[in-house]
Amino acid sequence: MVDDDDRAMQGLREGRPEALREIVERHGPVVLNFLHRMTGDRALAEDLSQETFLRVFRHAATYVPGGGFRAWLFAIARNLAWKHGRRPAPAAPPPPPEPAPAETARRAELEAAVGAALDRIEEPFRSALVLCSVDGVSYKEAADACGCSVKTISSRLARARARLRDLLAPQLREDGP
Amino acid sequence: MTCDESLERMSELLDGIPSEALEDHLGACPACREGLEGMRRADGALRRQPRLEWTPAMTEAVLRRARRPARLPWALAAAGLAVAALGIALALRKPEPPPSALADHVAAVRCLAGQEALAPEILRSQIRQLDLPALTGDLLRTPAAKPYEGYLRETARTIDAVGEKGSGWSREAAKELWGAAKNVQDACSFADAPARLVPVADPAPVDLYAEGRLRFANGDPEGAVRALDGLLGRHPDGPYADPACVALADHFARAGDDLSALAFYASIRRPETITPEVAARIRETARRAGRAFAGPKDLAGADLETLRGCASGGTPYGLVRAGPDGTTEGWLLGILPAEFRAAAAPEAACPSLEVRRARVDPARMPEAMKRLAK
Repeated sequence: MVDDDDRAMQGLREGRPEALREIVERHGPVVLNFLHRMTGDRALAEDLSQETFLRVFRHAATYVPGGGFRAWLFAIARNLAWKHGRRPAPAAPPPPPEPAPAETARRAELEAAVGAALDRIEEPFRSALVLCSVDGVSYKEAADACGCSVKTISSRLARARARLRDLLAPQLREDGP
Repeated sequence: MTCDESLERMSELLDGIPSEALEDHLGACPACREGLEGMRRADGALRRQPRLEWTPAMTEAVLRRARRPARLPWALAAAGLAVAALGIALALRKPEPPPSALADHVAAVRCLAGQEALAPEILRSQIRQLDLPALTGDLLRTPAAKPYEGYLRETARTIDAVGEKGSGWSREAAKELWGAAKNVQDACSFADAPARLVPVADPAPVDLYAEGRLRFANGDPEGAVRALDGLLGRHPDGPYADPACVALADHFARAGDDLSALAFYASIRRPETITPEVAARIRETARRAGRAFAGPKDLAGADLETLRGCASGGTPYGLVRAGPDGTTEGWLLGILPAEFRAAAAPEAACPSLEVRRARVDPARMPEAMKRLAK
Protein backbone atom coordinates (compact mmCIF):
# COMPACT_ATOMS: atom_id res chain seq x y z
CA MET A 1 0.00 0.00 0.00
CA VAL A 2 1.32 3.43 -0.92
CA ASP A 3 0.92 5.90 1.92
CA ASP A 4 0.91 9.70 1.80
CA ASP A 5 4.62 9.92 2.57
CA ASP A 6 5.58 7.47 -0.14
CA ARG A 7 3.43 9.42 -2.61
CA ALA A 8 5.12 12.68 -1.57
CA MET A 9 8.57 11.13 -1.92
CA GLN A 10 7.63 9.94 -5.39
CA GLY A 11 6.64 13.53 -6.14
CA LEU A 12 9.98 14.73 -4.84
CA ARG A 13 11.80 12.36 -7.13
CA GLU A 14 9.74 13.64 -10.02
CA GLY A 15 10.79 17.18 -9.17
CA ARG A 16 7.46 18.51 -7.85
CA PRO A 17 8.31 21.25 -5.32
CA GLU A 18 4.96 21.05 -3.53
CA ALA A 19 5.90 17.51 -2.44
CA LEU A 20 8.64 18.90 -0.21
CA ARG A 21 6.24 21.42 1.29
CA GLU A 22 3.80 18.63 2.05
CA ILE A 23 6.47 16.57 3.81
CA VAL A 24 7.83 19.52 5.78
CA GLU A 25 4.41 20.66 6.94
CA ARG A 26 3.37 17.16 7.93
CA HIS A 27 6.51 16.21 9.85
CA GLY A 28 8.06 19.56 10.79
CA PRO A 29 6.56 19.79 14.30
CA VAL A 30 7.52 16.29 15.36
CA VAL A 31 11.04 16.54 13.93
CA LEU A 32 11.59 19.93 15.58
CA ASN A 33 10.46 18.67 18.97
CA PHE A 34 12.43 15.44 18.65
CA LEU A 35 15.59 17.44 17.91
CA HIS A 36 14.84 19.86 20.72
CA ARG A 37 14.63 17.01 23.24
CA MET A 38 17.74 15.42 21.76
CA THR A 39 19.91 18.53 21.70
CA GLY A 40 18.44 20.61 24.52
CA ASP A 41 18.86 23.72 22.38
CA ARG A 42 16.02 25.44 20.58
CA ALA A 43 18.07 27.31 17.97
CA LEU A 44 20.13 24.24 17.17
CA ALA A 45 16.98 22.15 16.90
CA GLU A 46 15.54 24.61 14.38
CA ASP A 47 18.72 24.53 12.28
CA LEU A 48 18.92 20.76 12.39
CA SER A 49 15.25 20.42 11.47
CA GLN A 50 15.91 22.42 8.31
CA GLU A 51 18.97 20.33 7.59
CA THR A 52 16.97 17.13 8.09
CA PHE A 53 14.43 18.11 5.45
CA LEU A 54 17.14 19.28 3.09
CA ARG A 55 18.70 15.86 3.36
CA VAL A 56 15.36 14.25 2.66
CA PHE A 57 15.18 16.43 -0.44
CA ARG A 58 18.73 15.75 -1.61
CA HIS A 59 18.71 12.06 -0.85
CA ALA A 60 15.21 11.29 -2.03
CA ALA A 61 16.65 8.94 -4.62
CA THR A 62 17.90 6.59 -1.91
CA TYR A 63 14.56 6.27 -0.16
CA VAL A 64 12.95 2.90 -0.66
CA PRO A 65 9.14 3.17 -0.60
CA GLY A 66 7.31 0.76 1.65
CA GLY A 67 5.85 2.70 4.53
CA GLY A 68 9.11 3.28 6.36
CA PHE A 69 9.36 7.00 5.73
CA ARG A 70 9.07 8.13 9.35
CA ALA A 71 11.80 5.71 10.44
CA TRP A 72 14.05 7.01 7.65
CA LEU A 73 13.29 10.60 8.59
CA PHE A 74 14.05 10.00 12.26
CA ALA A 75 17.24 8.16 11.34
CA ILE A 76 18.44 11.27 9.51
CA ALA A 77 17.39 13.57 12.36
CA ARG A 78 18.98 11.29 14.94
CA ASN A 79 22.26 11.17 12.99
CA LEU A 80 22.32 14.96 12.91
CA ALA A 81 21.56 15.17 16.62
CA TRP A 82 24.38 12.72 17.34
CA LYS A 83 26.78 14.72 15.26
CA HIS A 84 26.05 17.91 17.15
CA GLY A 85 25.74 16.42 20.62
CA ARG A 86 23.66 17.83 23.41
CA ARG A 87 24.03 21.20 25.04
CA PRO A 88 23.69 20.90 28.81
CA ALA A 89 20.56 22.41 30.27
CA PRO A 90 21.08 25.39 32.59
CA ALA A 91 21.64 24.32 36.18
CA ALA A 92 18.55 26.15 37.40
CA PRO A 93 15.70 27.96 35.69
CA PRO A 94 16.25 31.71 35.34
CA PRO A 95 14.60 33.64 38.19
CA PRO A 96 11.23 35.06 37.29
CA PRO A 97 11.02 38.86 37.10
CA GLU A 98 8.45 38.92 39.87
CA PRO A 99 7.32 36.28 42.32
CA ALA A 100 5.56 33.61 40.30
CA PRO A 101 2.60 31.64 41.53
CA ALA A 102 3.68 28.45 43.28
CA GLU A 103 2.26 26.25 40.53
CA THR A 104 4.14 28.12 37.78
CA ALA A 105 7.37 27.99 39.73
CA ARG A 106 7.00 24.25 40.35
CA ARG A 107 6.29 23.62 36.69
CA ALA A 108 9.36 25.60 35.63
CA GLU A 109 11.48 23.70 38.10
CA LEU A 110 10.20 20.35 36.86
CA GLU A 111 10.80 21.43 33.27
CA ALA A 112 14.40 22.30 34.07
CA ALA A 113 14.81 19.03 35.95
CA VAL A 114 13.54 17.04 32.97
CA GLY A 115 16.02 18.87 30.70
CA ALA A 116 18.86 18.14 33.11
CA ALA A 117 17.78 14.50 33.37
CA LEU A 118 17.83 14.15 29.58
CA ASP A 119 21.40 15.50 29.67
CA ARG A 120 22.34 12.61 31.87
CA ILE A 121 20.66 9.88 29.87
CA GLU A 122 23.21 8.84 27.32
CA GLU A 123 22.72 7.75 23.79
CA PRO A 124 21.35 5.43 22.50
CA PHE A 125 18.94 5.34 25.44
CA ARG A 126 17.93 8.99 25.07
CA SER A 127 16.74 8.59 21.49
CA ALA A 128 14.71 5.49 22.40
CA LEU A 129 13.07 7.47 25.19
CA VAL A 130 12.35 10.57 23.12
CA LEU A 131 11.13 8.65 20.09
CA CYS A 132 8.81 6.25 21.89
CA SER A 133 7.80 8.15 24.97
CA VAL A 134 7.51 11.72 23.69
CA ASP A 135 6.92 11.42 19.98
CA GLY A 136 4.78 8.33 20.18
CA VAL A 137 6.77 6.50 17.54
CA SER A 138 6.11 2.74 17.43
CA TYR A 139 8.80 0.33 18.65
CA LYS A 140 9.19 -0.93 15.09
CA GLU A 141 9.72 2.54 13.65
CA ALA A 142 12.11 3.46 16.45
CA ALA A 143 14.04 0.25 15.86
CA ASP A 144 14.32 1.03 12.15
CA ALA A 145 15.39 4.59 12.90
CA CYS A 146 18.05 3.44 15.36
CA GLY A 147 19.22 0.50 13.26
CA CYS A 148 18.54 -2.13 15.90
CA SER A 149 15.95 -4.75 16.78
CA VAL A 150 12.57 -4.11 18.41
CA LYS A 151 13.80 -6.09 21.41
CA THR A 152 16.78 -3.77 21.76
CA ILE A 153 14.55 -0.69 21.59
CA SER A 154 12.27 -2.10 24.24
CA SER A 155 15.24 -2.81 26.50
CA ARG A 156 16.81 0.62 25.90
CA LEU A 157 13.48 2.32 26.55
CA ALA A 158 13.00 0.45 29.83
CA ARG A 159 16.47 1.41 30.99
CA ALA A 160 15.97 5.02 29.98
CA ARG A 161 12.63 5.21 31.76
CA ALA A 162 14.07 3.69 34.92
CA ARG A 163 16.92 6.18 34.80
CA LEU A 164 14.54 9.10 34.23
CA ARG A 165 12.41 7.94 37.15
CA ASP A 166 15.46 7.84 39.44
CA LEU A 167 16.76 11.22 38.25
CA LEU A 168 13.40 12.91 38.71
CA ALA A 169 12.56 11.20 41.99
CA PRO A 170 13.22 14.26 44.19
CA GLN A 171 11.08 16.60 42.05
CA LEU A 172 8.27 14.10 41.61
CA ARG A 173 8.18 13.43 45.35
CA GLU A 174 7.80 17.17 45.98
CA ASP A 175 5.37 17.48 43.12
CA GLY A 176 2.94 15.00 44.59
CA PRO A 177 0.85 12.54 42.65
CA MET B 1 8.63 -13.26 36.93
CA THR B 2 11.36 -11.66 39.01
CA CYS B 3 11.63 -7.95 39.83
CA ASP B 4 14.59 -7.83 37.51
CA GLU B 5 12.60 -9.17 34.60
CA SER B 6 9.66 -6.91 35.28
CA LEU B 7 11.43 -3.66 34.29
CA GLU B 8 11.01 -4.12 30.56
CA ARG B 9 7.40 -5.31 30.97
CA MET B 10 6.63 -2.23 33.10
CA SER B 11 7.94 0.01 30.36
CA GLU B 12 5.85 -1.84 27.78
CA LEU B 13 2.81 -1.52 30.03
CA LEU B 14 3.18 2.27 29.87
CA ASP B 15 2.90 1.93 26.09
CA GLY B 16 -0.26 -0.12 26.40
CA ILE B 17 1.25 -3.58 26.07
CA PRO B 18 -0.27 -5.64 28.90
CA SER B 19 1.41 -8.60 30.54
CA GLU B 20 -0.39 -11.06 32.75
CA ALA B 21 2.85 -12.21 34.32
CA LEU B 22 3.64 -8.62 35.25
CA GLU B 23 0.24 -8.09 36.79
CA ASP B 24 0.69 -11.21 38.90
CA HIS B 25 4.08 -9.99 39.97
CA LEU B 26 2.85 -6.49 40.79
CA GLY B 27 0.13 -7.96 42.93
CA ALA B 28 2.75 -9.52 45.15
CA CYS B 29 5.54 -6.95 45.02
CA PRO B 30 5.04 -3.49 46.57
CA ALA B 31 8.54 -2.35 45.48
CA CYS B 32 7.73 -2.95 41.82
CA ARG B 33 4.32 -1.31 42.17
CA GLU B 34 6.06 1.75 43.51
CA GLY B 35 8.67 1.52 40.76
CA LEU B 36 5.96 1.41 38.09
CA GLU B 37 4.16 4.36 39.60
CA GLY B 38 7.41 6.36 39.64
CA MET B 39 8.05 5.43 36.03
CA ARG B 40 4.56 6.51 35.06
CA ARG B 41 4.98 9.88 36.75
CA ALA B 42 8.41 10.49 35.24
CA ASP B 43 7.07 9.56 31.82
CA GLY B 44 4.15 11.92 32.33
CA ALA B 45 6.49 14.76 33.29
CA LEU B 46 8.50 14.14 30.12
CA ARG B 47 5.41 14.08 27.91
CA ARG B 48 4.06 17.26 29.48
CA GLN B 49 7.15 19.27 28.56
CA PRO B 50 6.11 22.28 26.46
CA ARG B 51 6.39 21.67 22.74
CA LEU B 52 7.92 24.02 20.22
CA GLU B 53 5.76 25.32 17.43
CA TRP B 54 6.65 24.75 13.80
CA THR B 55 5.97 28.01 11.97
CA PRO B 56 5.21 28.67 8.27
CA ALA B 57 8.45 30.69 8.17
CA MET B 58 10.39 27.54 8.97
CA THR B 59 8.73 25.72 6.08
CA GLU B 60 9.60 28.59 3.74
CA ALA B 61 13.21 28.55 4.96
CA VAL B 62 13.53 24.86 4.07
CA LEU B 63 12.00 25.41 0.64
CA ARG B 64 14.28 28.39 -0.01
CA ARG B 65 17.36 26.40 0.90
CA ALA B 66 16.23 23.46 -1.19
CA ARG B 67 16.07 25.72 -4.24
CA ARG B 68 19.71 26.77 -3.80
CA PRO B 69 22.45 24.80 -5.57
CA ALA B 70 24.23 22.55 -3.12
CA ARG B 71 27.52 23.75 -1.67
CA LEU B 72 28.75 25.35 -4.88
CA PRO B 73 30.91 28.10 -3.35
CA TRP B 74 32.58 25.76 -0.89
CA ALA B 75 33.39 23.25 -3.57
CA LEU B 76 34.86 25.90 -5.82
CA ALA B 77 37.04 27.25 -3.06
CA ALA B 78 38.22 23.87 -1.96
CA ALA B 79 38.64 22.12 -5.20
CA GLY B 80 40.03 24.84 -7.40
CA LEU B 81 39.42 25.42 -11.02
CA ALA B 82 39.97 21.89 -12.19
CA VAL B 83 37.23 20.41 -10.08
CA ALA B 84 34.92 23.34 -10.71
CA ALA B 85 35.28 22.77 -14.42
CA LEU B 86 34.74 19.09 -13.91
CA GLY B 87 31.64 19.78 -11.84
CA ILE B 88 30.17 22.18 -14.36
CA ALA B 89 30.88 19.77 -17.15
CA LEU B 90 29.20 17.00 -15.18
CA ALA B 91 26.20 19.17 -14.46
CA LEU B 92 25.79 20.35 -18.04
CA ARG B 93 26.17 17.00 -19.66
CA LYS B 94 24.01 15.10 -17.18
CA PRO B 95 26.28 12.07 -17.15
CA GLU B 96 25.18 8.67 -16.03
CA PRO B 97 25.03 8.40 -12.24
CA PRO B 98 28.27 7.19 -10.73
CA PRO B 99 28.28 3.50 -9.90
CA SER B 100 27.33 2.67 -6.35
CA ALA B 101 30.80 1.23 -5.64
CA LEU B 102 32.03 4.79 -5.75
CA ALA B 103 30.02 5.48 -2.60
CA ASP B 104 32.12 2.95 -0.72
CA HIS B 105 35.34 4.41 -2.02
CA VAL B 106 34.43 7.95 -1.13
CA ALA B 107 33.17 6.92 2.30
CA ALA B 108 36.41 5.07 2.90
CA VAL B 109 38.53 8.04 1.83
CA ARG B 110 36.47 10.39 3.99
CA CYS B 111 36.94 8.06 6.87
CA LEU B 112 40.69 7.82 6.37
CA ALA B 113 40.99 11.56 6.23
CA GLY B 114 39.69 11.73 9.76
CA GLN B 115 41.91 9.01 11.10
CA GLU B 116 45.18 10.64 11.82
CA ALA B 117 44.90 9.54 15.41
CA LEU B 118 45.04 5.90 14.45
CA ALA B 119 48.16 3.80 14.56
CA PRO B 120 50.21 3.95 11.34
CA GLU B 121 49.92 0.22 10.72
CA ILE B 122 46.11 0.38 10.85
CA LEU B 123 46.15 3.30 8.46
CA ARG B 124 48.48 1.52 6.12
CA SER B 125 46.35 -1.57 6.03
CA GLN B 126 43.17 0.45 5.49
CA ILE B 127 44.70 2.46 2.70
CA ARG B 128 45.82 -0.76 1.06
CA GLN B 129 42.22 -1.91 1.17
CA LEU B 130 41.16 1.17 -0.79
CA ASP B 131 40.90 0.12 -4.35
CA LEU B 132 42.45 3.23 -5.83
CA PRO B 133 42.46 2.11 -9.47
CA ALA B 134 38.76 1.35 -9.05
CA LEU B 135 38.16 4.74 -7.44
CA THR B 136 39.64 6.64 -10.34
CA GLY B 137 38.34 4.13 -12.85
CA ASP B 138 34.76 4.49 -11.64
CA LEU B 139 34.88 8.23 -11.88
CA LEU B 140 36.56 8.19 -15.26
CA ARG B 141 33.78 6.06 -16.68
CA THR B 142 31.88 9.34 -16.79
CA PRO B 143 32.93 10.80 -20.15
CA ALA B 144 32.87 14.37 -18.82
CA ALA B 145 35.57 13.49 -16.30
CA LYS B 146 38.01 12.43 -19.00
CA PRO B 147 39.75 15.80 -19.35
CA TYR B 148 40.54 15.70 -15.64
CA GLU B 149 42.06 12.28 -15.68
CA GLY B 150 45.46 13.68 -14.76
CA TYR B 151 44.09 15.43 -11.71
CA LEU B 152 42.21 12.36 -10.52
CA ARG B 153 45.20 10.10 -10.99
CA GLU B 154 47.33 12.59 -9.09
CA THR B 155 44.81 12.45 -6.23
CA ALA B 156 45.01 8.68 -6.19
CA ARG B 157 48.81 8.87 -6.16
CA THR B 158 48.67 11.25 -3.20
CA ILE B 159 46.52 8.86 -1.23
CA ASP B 160 48.72 5.96 -2.22
CA ALA B 161 51.85 7.83 -1.15
CA VAL B 162 50.32 8.54 2.23
CA GLY B 163 49.60 4.83 2.56
CA GLU B 164 53.15 3.94 1.66
CA LYS B 165 54.62 6.45 4.09
CA GLY B 166 52.58 5.07 6.94
CA SER B 167 54.66 6.28 9.83
CA GLY B 168 54.97 9.64 8.12
CA TRP B 169 51.25 10.25 8.48
CA SER B 170 50.85 13.89 9.24
CA ARG B 171 48.23 16.53 9.61
CA GLU B 172 49.20 17.93 6.20
CA ALA B 173 48.75 14.56 4.56
CA ALA B 174 45.39 14.16 6.28
CA LYS B 175 44.29 17.57 5.05
CA GLU B 176 45.43 16.76 1.55
CA LEU B 177 43.53 13.51 1.62
CA TRP B 178 40.46 15.17 3.04
CA GLY B 179 40.60 17.80 0.31
CA ALA B 180 40.95 15.16 -2.37
CA ALA B 181 38.04 13.17 -1.05
CA LYS B 182 35.89 16.28 -0.74
CA ASN B 183 36.74 17.25 -4.28
CA VAL B 184 35.62 13.94 -5.65
CA GLN B 185 32.51 14.03 -3.53
CA ASP B 186 31.58 17.58 -4.44
CA ALA B 187 32.33 17.03 -8.10
CA CYS B 188 29.86 14.20 -8.08
CA SER B 189 27.30 16.24 -6.20
CA PHE B 190 27.12 18.54 -9.18
CA ALA B 191 25.77 15.62 -11.08
CA ASP B 192 22.87 15.61 -8.64
CA ALA B 193 23.85 12.25 -7.28
CA PRO B 194 25.07 12.91 -3.75
CA ALA B 195 22.68 10.37 -2.36
CA ARG B 196 24.53 7.65 -4.11
CA LEU B 197 27.77 8.80 -2.60
CA VAL B 198 27.00 9.30 1.06
CA PRO B 199 24.56 6.96 2.76
CA VAL B 200 23.28 9.43 5.33
CA ALA B 201 20.80 7.31 7.17
CA ASP B 202 23.19 4.43 7.57
CA PRO B 203 26.82 5.40 8.11
CA ALA B 204 29.37 2.78 7.14
CA PRO B 205 30.77 0.67 10.00
CA VAL B 206 34.25 1.88 9.24
CA ASP B 207 33.00 5.48 9.52
CA LEU B 208 31.47 4.87 12.92
CA TYR B 209 34.52 3.03 14.17
CA ALA B 210 36.84 5.75 12.97
CA GLU B 211 34.63 8.40 14.49
CA GLY B 212 34.69 6.61 17.83
CA ARG B 213 38.46 6.24 17.85
CA LEU B 214 38.94 9.81 16.79
CA ARG B 215 36.62 11.13 19.45
CA PHE B 216 38.43 9.17 22.14
CA ALA B 217 41.70 10.60 20.88
CA ASN B 218 40.27 14.11 20.90
CA GLY B 219 38.96 13.90 24.44
CA ASP B 220 35.28 13.44 23.59
CA PRO B 221 34.48 10.12 25.28
CA GLU B 222 30.72 10.66 25.26
CA GLY B 223 30.74 11.15 21.50
CA ALA B 224 33.04 8.17 21.09
CA VAL B 225 30.74 5.93 23.13
CA ARG B 226 27.79 7.11 21.03
CA ALA B 227 29.58 6.32 17.77
CA LEU B 228 30.83 2.92 18.86
CA ASP B 229 27.55 1.96 20.49
CA GLY B 230 25.81 2.96 17.27
CA LEU B 231 28.20 0.71 15.39
CA LEU B 232 27.41 -2.22 17.70
CA GLY B 233 23.68 -1.60 17.37
CA ARG B 234 23.79 -1.45 13.58
CA HIS B 235 26.47 -3.99 12.76
CA PRO B 236 26.75 -6.37 15.71
CA ASP B 237 28.32 -9.06 13.53
CA GLY B 238 30.53 -6.82 11.40
CA PRO B 239 34.31 -6.82 11.39
CA TYR B 240 34.47 -3.67 13.50
CA ALA B 241 32.19 -4.92 16.28
CA ASP B 242 34.90 -6.64 18.30
CA PRO B 243 37.39 -3.76 18.07
CA ALA B 244 34.55 -1.46 19.15
CA CYS B 245 33.81 -3.67 22.17
CA VAL B 246 37.47 -3.63 23.15
CA ALA B 247 37.70 0.16 22.72
CA LEU B 248 34.55 0.70 24.81
CA ALA B 249 35.63 -1.75 27.49
CA ASP B 250 39.08 -0.15 27.72
CA HIS B 251 37.44 3.26 28.02
CA PHE B 252 35.10 2.19 30.84
CA ALA B 253 37.97 0.41 32.60
CA ARG B 254 40.03 3.60 32.45
CA ALA B 255 37.05 5.57 33.75
CA GLY B 256 36.77 3.21 36.73
CA ASP B 257 33.43 1.68 35.65
CA ASP B 258 34.72 -1.86 35.79
CA LEU B 259 31.37 -3.60 35.51
CA SER B 260 30.51 -1.79 32.28
CA ALA B 261 33.99 -2.61 31.05
CA LEU B 262 33.46 -6.29 31.83
CA ALA B 263 30.10 -6.21 30.08
CA PHE B 264 31.73 -4.96 26.89
CA TYR B 265 34.58 -7.44 27.17
CA ALA B 266 31.90 -10.08 27.52
CA SER B 267 30.34 -8.93 24.26
CA ILE B 268 33.41 -9.82 22.23
CA ARG B 269 32.31 -12.40 19.74
CA ARG B 270 35.47 -13.73 18.20
CA PRO B 271 37.87 -15.62 20.44
CA GLU B 272 40.81 -14.42 18.36
CA THR B 273 40.05 -10.87 19.53
CA ILE B 274 41.04 -11.92 23.03
CA THR B 275 44.77 -11.61 22.54
CA PRO B 276 47.03 -12.14 25.57
CA GLU B 277 47.10 -8.33 26.03
CA VAL B 278 43.32 -8.06 25.98
CA ALA B 279 43.05 -11.06 28.30
CA ALA B 280 45.44 -9.37 30.71
CA ARG B 281 43.29 -6.23 30.71
CA ILE B 282 40.13 -8.29 31.30
CA ARG B 283 41.81 -10.10 34.17
CA GLU B 284 42.96 -6.85 35.73
CA THR B 285 39.51 -5.27 35.36
CA ALA B 286 37.84 -8.32 36.88
CA ARG B 287 40.31 -8.27 39.76
CA ARG B 288 39.56 -4.61 40.48
CA ALA B 289 35.84 -5.26 40.31
CA GLY B 290 36.20 -8.15 42.72
CA ARG B 291 34.81 -10.59 40.22
CA ALA B 292 36.02 -14.13 39.91
CA PHE B 293 37.62 -14.45 36.55
CA ALA B 294 37.52 -17.82 34.96
CA GLY B 295 38.95 -17.09 31.61
CA PRO B 296 39.18 -16.53 28.90
CA LYS B 297 38.55 -20.19 29.24
CA ASP B 298 37.95 -22.29 26.20
CA LEU B 299 34.64 -23.99 26.79
CA ALA B 300 34.45 -25.78 23.47
CA GLY B 301 32.66 -29.04 24.04
CA ALA B 302 32.06 -28.35 27.72
CA ASP B 303 29.22 -30.33 29.22
CA LEU B 304 26.66 -29.17 31.73
CA GLU B 305 28.71 -30.36 34.68
CA THR B 306 31.71 -28.31 33.60
CA LEU B 307 29.52 -25.25 33.24
CA ARG B 308 27.96 -25.83 36.60
CA GLY B 309 31.45 -26.06 38.04
CA CYS B 310 32.42 -22.77 36.42
CA ALA B 311 29.28 -21.09 37.59
CA SER B 312 29.15 -22.18 41.19
CA GLY B 313 28.39 -19.18 43.33
CA GLY B 314 27.27 -16.82 40.60
CA THR B 315 25.94 -16.14 37.15
CA PRO B 316 28.27 -16.93 34.29
CA TYR B 317 28.62 -14.42 31.51
CA GLY B 318 30.72 -14.27 28.46
CA LEU B 319 30.81 -15.51 24.94
CA VAL B 320 29.00 -18.81 25.06
CA ARG B 321 27.26 -20.38 22.13
CA ALA B 322 25.24 -23.54 21.79
CA GLY B 323 27.46 -26.18 20.31
CA PRO B 324 26.64 -29.57 18.80
CA ASP B 325 25.11 -32.30 20.93
CA GLY B 326 23.93 -30.01 23.69
CA THR B 327 27.44 -28.87 24.50
CA THR B 328 28.63 -25.29 24.41
CA GLU B 329 31.47 -23.48 22.84
CA GLY B 330 32.95 -20.12 23.51
CA TRP B 331 34.68 -18.21 26.21
CA LEU B 332 33.69 -17.74 29.76
CA LEU B 333 34.81 -14.33 30.85
CA GLY B 334 33.69 -14.26 34.40
CA ILE B 335 31.19 -15.06 37.07
CA LEU B 336 28.95 -12.39 38.51
CA PRO B 337 28.44 -13.03 42.21
CA ALA B 338 25.13 -14.32 43.45
CA GLU B 339 23.95 -11.01 44.87
CA PHE B 340 23.73 -9.61 41.35
CA ARG B 341 20.96 -12.02 40.67
CA ALA B 342 18.90 -10.47 43.42
CA ALA B 343 16.34 -8.64 41.39
CA ALA B 344 15.71 -6.03 44.02
CA ALA B 345 19.37 -4.99 44.18
CA PRO B 346 19.31 -1.19 44.21
CA GLU B 347 20.79 0.36 41.11
CA ALA B 348 23.20 2.44 43.20
CA ALA B 349 24.83 -0.71 44.46
CA CYS B 350 25.05 -2.19 41.02
CA PRO B 351 25.27 0.61 38.47
CA SER B 352 26.15 -1.61 35.56
CA LEU B 353 23.80 -4.48 36.01
CA GLU B 354 21.62 -3.17 33.23
CA VAL B 355 24.53 -2.94 30.86
CA ARG B 356 25.43 -6.51 31.54
CA ARG B 357 21.89 -7.66 30.90
CA ALA B 358 21.63 -5.69 27.73
CA ARG B 359 24.83 -6.99 26.33
CA VAL B 360 24.47 -10.68 26.95
CA ASP B 361 22.06 -11.92 24.37
CA PRO B 362 19.97 -14.65 25.96
CA ALA B 363 19.40 -16.19 22.55
CA ARG B 364 23.06 -17.02 22.48
CA MET B 365 23.00 -18.59 25.87
CA PRO B 366 22.20 -22.27 25.69
CA GLU B 367 19.48 -23.67 27.87
CA ALA B 368 21.96 -24.99 30.39
CA MET B 369 23.37 -21.53 30.98
CA LYS B 370 19.89 -20.04 31.28
CA ARG B 371 19.02 -22.54 33.99
CA LEU B 372 22.18 -21.69 35.84
CA ALA B 373 21.49 -18.00 35.57
CA LYS B 374 18.05 -18.32 37.15
